[in-house]
Amino acid sequence: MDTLDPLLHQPLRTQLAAFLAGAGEATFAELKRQLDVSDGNLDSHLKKLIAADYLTMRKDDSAGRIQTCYSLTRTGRAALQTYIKALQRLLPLGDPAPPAASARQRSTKLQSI
Amino acid sequence: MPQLATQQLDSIHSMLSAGHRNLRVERHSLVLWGLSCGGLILASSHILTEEQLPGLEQRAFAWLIMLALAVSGVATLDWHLTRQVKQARDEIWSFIHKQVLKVLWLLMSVGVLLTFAAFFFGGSYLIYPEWVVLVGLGLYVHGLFSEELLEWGGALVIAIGIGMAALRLNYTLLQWVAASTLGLGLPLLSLMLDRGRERAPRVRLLQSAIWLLCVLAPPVLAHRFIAASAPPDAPVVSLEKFTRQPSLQQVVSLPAGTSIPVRFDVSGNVFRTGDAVFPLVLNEPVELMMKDGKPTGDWRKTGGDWLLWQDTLRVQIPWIRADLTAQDGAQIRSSLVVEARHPESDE
Repeated sequence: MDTLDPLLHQPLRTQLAAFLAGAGEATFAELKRQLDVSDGNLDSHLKKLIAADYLTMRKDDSAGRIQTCYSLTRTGRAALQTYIKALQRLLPLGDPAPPAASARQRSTKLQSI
Repeated sequence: MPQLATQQLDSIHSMLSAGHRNLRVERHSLVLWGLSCGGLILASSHILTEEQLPGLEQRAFAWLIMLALAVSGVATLDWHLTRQVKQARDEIWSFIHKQVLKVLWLLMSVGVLLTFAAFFFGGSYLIYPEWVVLVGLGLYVHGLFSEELLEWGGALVIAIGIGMAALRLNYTLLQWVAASTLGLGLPLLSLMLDRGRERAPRVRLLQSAIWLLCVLAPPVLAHRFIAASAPPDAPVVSLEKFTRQPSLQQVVSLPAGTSIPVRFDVSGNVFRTGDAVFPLVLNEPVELMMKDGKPTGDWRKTGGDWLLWQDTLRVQIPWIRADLTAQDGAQIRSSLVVEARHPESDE
């Protein structure tokens, strides 16, 4: 059985990584609004992902004031792909139940990350 | 464990979709573009007209300058307002948002150039449908990266634009439908935005039907009301009596066989300049409403309903070519199609 990445196998951090995989880049405020979490909670999860080199941050001053933008690094993107493949392998083959079937269909779309 | 994996995959899928569609169209953008485009379309028959600017080139360049100023003015205002909103929300302009905005500006520029080109290459009938389709394309492209509702809205606007031309609506109705689609439809769409929520197709279909009804009903009903209102009664006189004694309001009857000259103002450097007259002969009797010695635009076949000629007469010149044969010598041949269509058959 595959071991799931402990850093990504946490609901909020999974969502964070998935959102950034789709959006490319987002500010702290956008992530907070999207995930509906407190500043402190989001900050602590971001710090963990940055420490593991899954996320990178940059300062943007194009809007007239400095904002911090976060994006997935190559390592983070690869880790998310590996994590998704590990999850897919956990799904039972030929499960007729609709939720699992829908998850399998969706997992096919997730290959494109 | 499989259930946990399913939940995690669903969560990833949902967040990935949210990330892919993380653009937001601002309500003010739809209101600004909609009102300015709709207003310009309504005003287009009253500003920079042939009476105000008789020269074709002069008029074409005046329209080019006015449209370029209007489009760039709205684009600049929209950009400033959007920047303010983004600053207030601590958001940045994402790369995709900048590209989508460029596509919208490009489409608007294409609209300006097509309008300018119509002065020289014809096709003015298609100007309103073109603008509607271009704005619809802009909405649709934005919707691909933002809200599903915008994608639906864009597709509907494109469909209206294509439908306007395909159904060959008369020019007045064409103008009103275009103005309503953009001037009324876009602000209405801004009120319907649901911040990217996923809805069942039947909900989207219902929203689309309501939006279409609100957008199409006012111009169609207004046009029907105006078309149904007959001009006041007036005495019917012959062309001879009218030329001898024109009065305040009268109906001039032109019998079948009446010769109606078409006067060409010939210019350029190939033929002698001046007037060339080409006679057309009426196929059936018609009556024209006159007021203060000038036609009001109302006409009817004898005994028929009153119609507006800008709504019912279509003139087409499908081809024109020069020829030289031993029998006929040099000549220019052309085809002229003049058709009267009842407005009810258009709608």
